[in-house]
Amino acid sequence: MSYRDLRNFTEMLRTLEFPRLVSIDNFRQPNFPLVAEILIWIIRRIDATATIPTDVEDETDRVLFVKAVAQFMATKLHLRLNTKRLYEADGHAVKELIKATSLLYNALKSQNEEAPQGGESGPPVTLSDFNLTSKIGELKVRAGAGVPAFMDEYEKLEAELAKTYETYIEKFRNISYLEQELEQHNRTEQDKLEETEQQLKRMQARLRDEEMRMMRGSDETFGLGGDMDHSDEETDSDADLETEPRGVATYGSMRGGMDSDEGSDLSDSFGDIDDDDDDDDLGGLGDDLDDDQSDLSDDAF
Amino acid sequence: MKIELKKSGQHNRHKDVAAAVVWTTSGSLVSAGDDHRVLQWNETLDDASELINLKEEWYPTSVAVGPNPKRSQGDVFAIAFDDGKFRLMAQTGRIEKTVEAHTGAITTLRWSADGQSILTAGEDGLMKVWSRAGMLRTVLAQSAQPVYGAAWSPCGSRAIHTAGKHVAVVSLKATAKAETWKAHDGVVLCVDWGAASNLIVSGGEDGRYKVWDAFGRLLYASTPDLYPITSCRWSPTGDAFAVGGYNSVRLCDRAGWSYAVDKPATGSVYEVQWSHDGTRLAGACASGDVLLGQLVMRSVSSPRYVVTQTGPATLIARSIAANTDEELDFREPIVKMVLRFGHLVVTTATQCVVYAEDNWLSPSTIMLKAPAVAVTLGRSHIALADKTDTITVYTYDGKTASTIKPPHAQSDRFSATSIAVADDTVAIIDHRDAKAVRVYDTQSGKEMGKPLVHSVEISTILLDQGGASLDRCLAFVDKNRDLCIVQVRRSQRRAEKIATMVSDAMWHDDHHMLATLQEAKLQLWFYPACAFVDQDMLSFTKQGVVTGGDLGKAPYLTSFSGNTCSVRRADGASMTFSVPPQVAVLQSHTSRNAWEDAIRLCRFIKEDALWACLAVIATKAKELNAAEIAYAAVNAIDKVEFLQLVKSIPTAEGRKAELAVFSGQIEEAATTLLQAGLIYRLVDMYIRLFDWDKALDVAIKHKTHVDTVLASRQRYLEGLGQRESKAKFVQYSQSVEVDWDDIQLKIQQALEAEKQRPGATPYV
Repeated sequence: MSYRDLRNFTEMLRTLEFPRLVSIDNFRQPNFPLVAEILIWIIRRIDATATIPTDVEDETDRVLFVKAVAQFMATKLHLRLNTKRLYEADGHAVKELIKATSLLYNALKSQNEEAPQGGESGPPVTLSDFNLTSKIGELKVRAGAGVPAFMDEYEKLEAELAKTYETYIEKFRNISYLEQELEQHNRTEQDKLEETEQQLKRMQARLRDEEMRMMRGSDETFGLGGDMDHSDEETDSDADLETEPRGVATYGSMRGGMDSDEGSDLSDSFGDIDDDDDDDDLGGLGDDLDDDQSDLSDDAF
Repeated sequence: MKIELKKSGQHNRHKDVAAAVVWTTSGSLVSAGDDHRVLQWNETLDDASELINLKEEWYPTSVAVGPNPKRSQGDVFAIAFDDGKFRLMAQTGRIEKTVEAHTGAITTLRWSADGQSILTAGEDGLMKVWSRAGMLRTVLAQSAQPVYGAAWSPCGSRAIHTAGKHVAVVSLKATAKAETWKAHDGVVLCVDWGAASNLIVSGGEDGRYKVWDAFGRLLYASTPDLYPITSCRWSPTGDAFAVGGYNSVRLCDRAGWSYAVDKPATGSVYEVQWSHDGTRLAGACASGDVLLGQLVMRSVSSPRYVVTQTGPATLIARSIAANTDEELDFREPIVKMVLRFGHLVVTTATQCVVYAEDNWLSPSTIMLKAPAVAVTLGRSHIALADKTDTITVYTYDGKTASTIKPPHAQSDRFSATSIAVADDTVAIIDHRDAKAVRVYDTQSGKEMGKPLVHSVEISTILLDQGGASLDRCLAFVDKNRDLCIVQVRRSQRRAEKIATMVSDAMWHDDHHMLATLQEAKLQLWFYPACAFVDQDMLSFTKQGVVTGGDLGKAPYLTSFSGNTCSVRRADGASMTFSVPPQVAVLQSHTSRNAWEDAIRLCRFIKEDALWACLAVIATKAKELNAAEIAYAAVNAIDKVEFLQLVKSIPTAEGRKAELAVFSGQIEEAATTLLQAGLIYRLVDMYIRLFDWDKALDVAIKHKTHVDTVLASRQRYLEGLGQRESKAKFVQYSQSVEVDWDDIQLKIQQALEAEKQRPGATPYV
């Protein structure tokens, strides 16, 4: 193992957007789970449908896994990996891994390089080129270079692009309309629910009041009845006033509960990230790849 | 501040990873990469020429440039490789020497500032020091983990290295113990120790960069980035540092907060390097690109103008009140700019241009013999330290006042905080012994007296600008963050510690007032020189400024002039506070000897702090009536009584001596009395100070009042219930007869004689 290999390897993983941060010191000690995770990730990047045993708990599983990986690399990428070294899962394994990652890395690099180069082609036209003779000369040069031939193709492609863009816009508009509709529907539904709930509450309160009145009814004198009613109404409305905020409070607390649940979820996931920061966990590999996928999204935080 | 980054072109860049960049002595940029090439770049980074072609199996990891013993042959490159060897190579590519230094790769190689030694650190966890010829001197450190970064301390007597999540400071002296602390939550990848700032910056795989002081105290920790920090480097000017990470180059203030971040799509930036003048920055990137950045948008401000650098050689001076812009163009790239005391001083490689704030059209231009490394301004002078280890003092109209060549000076250790200049004095921290300050005369350039030596290393020095030449005050902050002041132009230099835990200090631009930052609080000292007159008044004459909240960790002062004081917080915010104007008015009254006006002002303001200032200033000027009134106002009854006693002394010398004793200057008092021939007063003074030996010596020498001394001593011992223990007193008490009546008579006679002296009248 060497410093340069580790440095370049971690750099390649960063550039290829490997979901974890891999420390330069991760391979000082054998770390099979991490090596396995990287290998699986490389294979998935090359062929998302490839079937590779993902169980690397005990020795035989690991041997099988390494064999399968080596076979995959040999058939798909024509890469010969040293299985023994891969199994060691330390600095020597990095030398093998780097063969595969550099393939991806160089592909990405050359792709990036081509993009700006394409944009740069063609002589630059500046405002000072208003001299006609030079312009004509330039046109002649262009004609010689066969620019019009590409022009046709360019126009065709442009028309196609315009059409595709139109359909895209239409679809986008449709989907946003539908989304809005759905949202509105959800909102009215929610409102309705709240309203019935509140009504229920109000009814309950009224029933309770009535019950109280009936219980008190025997003690009350007859003459005060009218006043009583009035005061009752007052209390009723008071109760309404009370229940209303209470209802809101319930609703609030419900939402608050949801919020707090979400909050705790969030904090849990942050906790996960914190755990991930640990070196030990950096190398850890979940049994299930799906789990890793969720880890991935966590890391995106 | 900002960096305008430029990427090397697709065709010129390294075909593989660029691992290292370095600036040669002549100022050109050289890079080395995994494509086995060492490239030299032109000024604009458009073109590269292959300087050295390395062998196929050689992968460079770090490059440093050292001085060639034969200067004519250009630089010597020390190139470290990933096979654990480093090679000393001439510019021509000739291998001078191959050294097998480490097992595994060498991660870092650094040449010391004096060019005499080379520091290497390797994957094997070792840090070694080599002579410049490649002979092993010492193995400085051994750690269990690979060392990814290492750096020299500014003085070259210590070195710092990384080890896992820790960093360690190791001394070259074998006896000193290494100081180790946990720096990051991930592996530490890079570390640098600023020569000018004396601060440490480190970066790690946790995506943070942190700033530490030389003792490992954390000053700043950044918020974590998504990716590891792979490189960090202090600017040679010490006011900023650069940090490289994955696809990012960040420029940070010395306090840690970020000025600007650039996101070049170049992968990890493995190394960043500042040019020697600190105006350009180079980077080596994983993609093989080389980065070159020009420092722009530097800004300096005064109460009336803000001057901003808009391009490499252009400035815009904006008047704050009128909101008008003045564009200033220069022939060469701007290296330094300072704005203070109503003047803007700009240096380029060959020139120093001085503008007066109101007159942007006709600057005075000074031609420089060598590039300037540090510029310090005083009220009427500019001190300019250059590459030839010389400090030249100019006036603002461009005339040379003097040239100072301090012994042991190293140009790269000059900074604005290690030089101070005033109308009559220039002070410089010694470069060999940081405990010493050398003091020079501004006009003659001659050193005045021996260097001032403190008990611990001094980190910052400042000279006050106002006041009389004899009272010129040097304030210095030592490495324990104690603030001391000393009157440097006196023959007896007495350093008085006036404050502790001072992170920064600044004198007022015109008056003898000091602002300090202590434990994140702003403190104003209205008359710090009272430490030399009356220590008790020190606490009266200082005032904490209500800052409305914490100033945070490691704030620093940016200006203190007129009625305002500005502080830069660690998070980059600038806060301006008002300073009570009455102190400045009082000081201008007293400097004109307008004591009546001063008293009237104090009566009007009715503040203890102001009265205390007046008391001290008046006492110092021997203006006893004003002093008496002022002391009475601060309820210092003992001092009022003492002053009344002093006033009753008939001779001026007697009064002078008494006041000297009051401010603790015993020797001065003794000389005064001796010169005036007032022997009884001298004897009496020593008796009152219980300095029996001196009292007896004086009495014996002048053959008078011996019995007075003996009698007083006897009474003193009786009072304490002790026996005579001094042999000299035993001897004399046997031969001299003690008679109190006789003594009283003699004293009366002496006092009478004093009254009869010509011109002797009590003070009015």
